[in-house]
Amino acid sequence: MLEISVPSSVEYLALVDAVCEAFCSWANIPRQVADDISMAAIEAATNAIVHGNGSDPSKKARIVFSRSDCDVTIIVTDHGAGFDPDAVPCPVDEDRLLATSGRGIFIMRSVMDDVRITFPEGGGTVVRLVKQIEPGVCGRVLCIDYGEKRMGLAVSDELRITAQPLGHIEVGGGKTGIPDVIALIAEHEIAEIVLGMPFTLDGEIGQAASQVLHFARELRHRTGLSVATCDERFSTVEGERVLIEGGVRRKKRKKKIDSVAAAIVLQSFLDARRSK
Amino acid sequence: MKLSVRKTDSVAIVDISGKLMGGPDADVFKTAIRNLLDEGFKNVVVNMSQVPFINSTGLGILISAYTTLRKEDGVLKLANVTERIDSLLMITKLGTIFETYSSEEMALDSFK
Repeated sequence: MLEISVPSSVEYLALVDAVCEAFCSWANIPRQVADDISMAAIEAATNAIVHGNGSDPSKKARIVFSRSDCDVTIIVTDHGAGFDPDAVPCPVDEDRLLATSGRGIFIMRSVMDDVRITFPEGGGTVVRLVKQIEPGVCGRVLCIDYGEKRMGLAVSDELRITAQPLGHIEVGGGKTGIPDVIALIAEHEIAEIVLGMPFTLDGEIGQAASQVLHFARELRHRTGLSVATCDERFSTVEGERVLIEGGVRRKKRKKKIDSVAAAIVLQSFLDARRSK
Repeated sequence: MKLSVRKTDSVAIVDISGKLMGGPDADVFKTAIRNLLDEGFKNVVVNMSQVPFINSTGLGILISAYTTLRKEDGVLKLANVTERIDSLLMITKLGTIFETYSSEEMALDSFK
């Protein structure tokens, strides 16, 4: 881990860039990936220095660089009053193309795998940027078996080898389940989400699958994570068989079936990914 | 960032070196463009061969210069952009606004 604090003056951006490049080189990050990381780090640092700290050199912008086996994480912290990231207009809309500012967050989101902007209670803004070194090979995957009343859940291990049932969440009656999913993402450090896709038996997208696609879009928007889909057509039947073979009584089967079905979908998703 | 200007008959070449990341750079650039317009130069090539990278503020500085020149029926083109800057232009869709050339000569020829 490497941590630097710079006075909030744009002249220090070149230093942040140089440190970021040196860190990526030390961490053996491929050149093109390192360019993406530097690009995002500079944008986050620019926002921290100019917007968060108002270019006041007495205030420091703090930048922490770290690397794990799978990713590089950069955390940029300032002392600003915060803002609403969703209220920033899209800078590539035709009428915004010639605007002279407002591209920072868009650039970060374009080049990084995960961008989270949070505002701690004590004040300030924390921007967490993650770039996977080998995309799709590391970090826990959460599988959601979408249902209108109950959503079955399963989670993988960090290395994405096995899937385990993780209970279910009750939805419906105005409850979308999304806040529960967001809480689970934080609790289990989820890196990616996969949704069971209920194609019709002919493999077409019916009403049920359309609902799942809508839910996937919503999740992507709210969590900033990659949301994949995986065919779930036979998972519930398979799940029931697994539970019967395991001697689970009918009453208990009903409670467990959703998460077991999710685990089956997730296991087939993990196996398919590995065999690619 | 350092900035110097060369002139041909009808096109001005602005050489910049260092990282274009905002701060005083914005005023230096704006003044240079304003001076060129006062001297009758509406067409400008920015030679970026000595600019390893710019940030979104630097993009804003280039856009501001582009808009100023466009209002006077002129244009701003870029020459010798690095791969990193080129990908920034692509991501932000500014590749559709700025004409970029791999050499200064090609940029100058494009005005003929």
